Amino acid sequence: MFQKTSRWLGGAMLLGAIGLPQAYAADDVIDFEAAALLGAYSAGDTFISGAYTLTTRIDYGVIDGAVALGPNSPTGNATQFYFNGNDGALSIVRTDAGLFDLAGFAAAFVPLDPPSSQTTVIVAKGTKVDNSVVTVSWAFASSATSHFPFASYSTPSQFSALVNLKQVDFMACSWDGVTPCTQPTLNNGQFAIDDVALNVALVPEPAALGLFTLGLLGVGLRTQLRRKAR
Amino acid sequence: MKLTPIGFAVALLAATCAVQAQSNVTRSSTSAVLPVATGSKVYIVQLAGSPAATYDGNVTGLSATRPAAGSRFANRSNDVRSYLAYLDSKRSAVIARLGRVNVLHKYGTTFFGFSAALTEAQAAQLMTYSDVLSVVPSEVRQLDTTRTPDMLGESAVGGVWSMLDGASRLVKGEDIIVAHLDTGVWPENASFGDKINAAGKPVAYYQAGTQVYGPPPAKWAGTCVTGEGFTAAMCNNKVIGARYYAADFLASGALPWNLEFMSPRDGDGHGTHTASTSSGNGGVELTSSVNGVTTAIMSGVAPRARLAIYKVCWTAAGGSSDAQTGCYTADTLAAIDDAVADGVDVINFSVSGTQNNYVDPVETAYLNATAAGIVVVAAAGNSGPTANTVAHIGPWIATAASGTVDRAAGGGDFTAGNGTVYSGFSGNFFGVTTGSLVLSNTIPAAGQTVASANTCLANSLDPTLAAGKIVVCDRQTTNSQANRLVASNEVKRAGGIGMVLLNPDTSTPVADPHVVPSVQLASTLRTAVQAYAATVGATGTIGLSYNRPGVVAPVISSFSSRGPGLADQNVMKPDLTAPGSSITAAIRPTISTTQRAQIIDGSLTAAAATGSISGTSMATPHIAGAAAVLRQLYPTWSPAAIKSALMTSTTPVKLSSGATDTNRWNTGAGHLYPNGAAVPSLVYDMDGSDYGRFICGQNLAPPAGIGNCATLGSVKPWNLNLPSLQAAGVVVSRTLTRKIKNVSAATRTYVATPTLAGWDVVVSPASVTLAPGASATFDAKLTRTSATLGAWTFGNLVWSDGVVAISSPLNAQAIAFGAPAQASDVRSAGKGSQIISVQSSYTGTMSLATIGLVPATVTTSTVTAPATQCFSFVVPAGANFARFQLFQADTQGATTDLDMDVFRSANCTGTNVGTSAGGSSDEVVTLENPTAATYSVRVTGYATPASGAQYKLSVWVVGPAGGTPTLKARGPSSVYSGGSSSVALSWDVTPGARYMGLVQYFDGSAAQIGSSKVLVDNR
Repeated sequence: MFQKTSRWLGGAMLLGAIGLPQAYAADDVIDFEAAALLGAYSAGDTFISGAYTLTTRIDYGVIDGAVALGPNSPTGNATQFYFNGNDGALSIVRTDAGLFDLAGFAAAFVPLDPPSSQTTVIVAKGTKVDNSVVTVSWAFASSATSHFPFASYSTPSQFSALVNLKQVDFMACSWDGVTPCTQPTLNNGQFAIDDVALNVALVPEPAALGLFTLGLLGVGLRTQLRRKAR
Repeated sequence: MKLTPIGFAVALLAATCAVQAQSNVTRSSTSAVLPVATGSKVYIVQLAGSPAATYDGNVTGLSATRPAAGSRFANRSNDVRSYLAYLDSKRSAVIARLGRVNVLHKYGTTFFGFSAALTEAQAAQLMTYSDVLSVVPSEVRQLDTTRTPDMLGESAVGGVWSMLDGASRLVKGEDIIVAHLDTGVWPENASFGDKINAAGKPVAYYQAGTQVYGPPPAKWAGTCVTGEGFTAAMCNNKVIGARYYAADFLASGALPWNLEFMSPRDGDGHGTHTASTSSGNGGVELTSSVNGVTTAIMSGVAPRARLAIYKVCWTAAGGSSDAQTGCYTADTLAAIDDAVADGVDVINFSVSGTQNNYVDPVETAYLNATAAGIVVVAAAGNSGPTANTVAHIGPWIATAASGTVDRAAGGGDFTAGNGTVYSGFSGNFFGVTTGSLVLSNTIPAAGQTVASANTCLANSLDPTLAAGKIVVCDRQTTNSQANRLVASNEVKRAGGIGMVLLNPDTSTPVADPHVVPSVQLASTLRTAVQAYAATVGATGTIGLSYNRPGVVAPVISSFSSRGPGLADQNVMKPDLTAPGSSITAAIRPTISTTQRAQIIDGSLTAAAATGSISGTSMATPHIAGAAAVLRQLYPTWSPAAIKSALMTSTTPVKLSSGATDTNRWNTGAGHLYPNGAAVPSLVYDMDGSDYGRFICGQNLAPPAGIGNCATLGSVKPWNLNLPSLQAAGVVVSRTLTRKIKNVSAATRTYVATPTLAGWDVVVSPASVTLAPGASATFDAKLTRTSATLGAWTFGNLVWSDGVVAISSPLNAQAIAFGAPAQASDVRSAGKGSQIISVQSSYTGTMSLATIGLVPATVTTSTVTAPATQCFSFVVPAGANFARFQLFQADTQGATTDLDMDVFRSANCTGTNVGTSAGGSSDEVVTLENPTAATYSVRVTGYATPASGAQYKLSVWVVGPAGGTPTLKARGPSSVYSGGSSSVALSWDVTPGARYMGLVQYFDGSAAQIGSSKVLVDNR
């Protein structure tokens, strides 16, 4: 579970686009806290959290605390979270194959060692019934060291397109200052994620919205290149 | 330490009083733990809070006391006084909670804490206090002097002495205060007087003369502490202060040597030597005490600098080789504190130090001193030529390697009247001398034998026949310097004007400080010279001492400790080389116990002496003196800027072949060249926070006043703004970042020229134009082309404005695959994971295999010093590694010291395959791919409680692979050339043990490319 420390609040203000707890009043929050979840997952491995089935994609994932990440551990999270290694992704579907809305999550950048010079963003890719895709990207919170703070992403307006989904995939993408996902990340697509807030979809999706893809909501975005410890 | 004093008459008088080594201690570790006499021992306690040198003002009502950039620590300010009082109250509160303890020193200026004689229980109690950062036992450290001194030779460090500073004063260290933390000072040497005689030569404090120094600089707040054989008169306007620190030395149970002085007076000679080398007066006549003849002139590198003496090194009862002789860290910390509070500019520390700990108390105090604007120069150590032996690895310290000097073997020619030149060895600084020749065996004095006259024994020559002649003598059969000097002394007595000394055997001639112009010739020339001298009217000429052809200098001294450092190999150590072999400077004369008593009761004015000593100890004050010169010339420069100027202006160190010695582990940046350093150009500048970021990057906590890692951030070690660029373990390429600052008075354009064989180096920008005071950042991207994997390549990065070239070492080591040697997890849970990073030099797939985890086989036993115990273990065929380990945490007694040896046999005999003998009970021996055999481990109780110490021996044998490993590894779907990837290790084992395992890495063709050990301690 997320620790709402003053450090975390500071990160929230830096991003300037983060709502407060209403996102956590969601139907389900995947917090990765179950002791049985602790461990490493290979590509294709699945695990269950509440009504949801999660799948590790492409690369490996680990559920553990920050200590497992040693010199590159994120800050502001004292308990278990999911770490996405290298260029992997984390997929979430409802075990009953039902539709859902994404309401929020928390994430932190995790650098390689030595770090890549590439800047990345956290991406939620929602897939709808008609297989259309909605992609929303957010900047990671910055850090002067190799320890990046968790930031919370839950401003309702930023999630308004991520509704009536049959699947959501979290991954990290390159960010060139204009457009996300134009360059391969070459194992620099690492991140930690926690407290994924999900609601059961209530409203049938307006057809028009299915074609609408939001671009980057980059309020307060800064390049990781500049923030990284040199 | 043995000296070869030029003042040898005194030495002869007291020869029987020479040090008798009483030590029967055999010790394989480098830092001895002190014997415990009273059930307690000395600990250094570090408290939470900034020392005054770095205090930033975060306590309400107390202003910051750390200096602003470009200024020095305001040691006399009210703010400092107030803050020290505040620290005192905090410290007292901690001490009060301990009850009655013997506090030795209180620290507040460069290190916040205290040292005290504590029981183990008290030390353990202290560790539980929230305001106590660390409690570490005091250690004794050694002077960095070699024990194979030789004779004569003069350091020829050229000065910038003809330049003028901003106040139109000659740049000789004017008003710069150089502190020597050492064995004290022998004040009777003219190097330490503040007056000159009618001839303009410096004289000692007790001699009449004209005052040539003003009062101490206004900031000086030090004092002159008197004691045995040291009166207030011995301090003056040259030696402006002197203190001594013996509390830790005495608390150790050591007894002072019977020729030691409980005062700032030098108990050894080492401190006198280093002080006169860095800052001794110029123009001091180096005299033979046989007859007072001047044989040379000597001078400190900064001859006008003021000296502040802090005696922290003591000779114990057994003399210089007594295990208790040395420099005690709790005393040293007190001296550093005082030196900074007293207002010194430069600290010279010719004493050994840690080889692997960036935050040891002494290095921490030196970091705080550096942050306060004080230049710290320390000795690399005398453990060469073995690699990885360099001490004082902190990047804030200028660490000195030692080189030879060009007169280490002074040449000398004897030119016969017939024109034949006979080349030998000479220490002749008198002048060229020509005269008639006479064979000594033809002019015996009345009643003397021809044999006596032949070797020119005392009173053997007839003065009426020797007067005005150059006398040809045979060397005595027993080849000692004393015997050789007897001959020239006799020639002098008999009125001779010169001497040719002929070797009767094949030993190598020596350049002795004879009292008449002399040449010593090899036995191969003996017959010819004797034959010529026997001819009627034979004449000859004794030439001056010169640098013998073929004598290559400077060459790195064999004893000089070598890099790379044992800690982070992205930081180059040693930093630079200075003269350290056969350095002639002031020393302490050999004295008798009677003379010591007379010096103490004031009935004897001690003699002065000069002598030749070798060591990185001797190199250190050359650099300290040069730093003092630069501090005078550029008073606002930071210590980092001064170190930068010294390191980027060096001249080559040579190999004995005459070629340049390109091995940076020998030489650092090269040989000290103060004239070059004094030319202002570019510097690589830093302040305390840069060093703090470096420490954070090592996953260590910097000293409180430097800052905390959350606010400082961290820096990769290869990006610390050192004037040396070094990259260890580079997979394909690495980019190093630096910032250069124009410290000249003009706008200049600098162009970069990198040279590094086997590497492509791209500097961007490759050219910078900088206004005075302006800085620019540049990147140097190193990409391997043909460099041998695993090997270090040494090159340079030169920034030149067309006139001045600022040359930095540029060193790199390429590897094919990078992985941590070991990953560790210490959580007390059965399941866990660790993510580690690897770097590959190819793009493609990587596969992983694991072995283990294997729990330790633990053997519990009790040993009482000095007993040993032996345990045997079977290692099967195909084992990947075997580790044998002792943990201090598993050992009774916080000060217990156990050592360990591993043998490939059952009974601790036969082939010793590994030894671990540190100063604590943390010992480890790891055998890679061990041969299948029965091995045995010998545990030695070096220091234990009288009742013995219980300990646990942990042994792991990992491999061969078999069964389903409990350690699992997951890696990336692809690795990329030159890039990093992460690997997840995970396990599920029973909690309560220390486990070890191995993860192996394979490339796309299934060839193993690396491995990492895994330690899981889930007790």
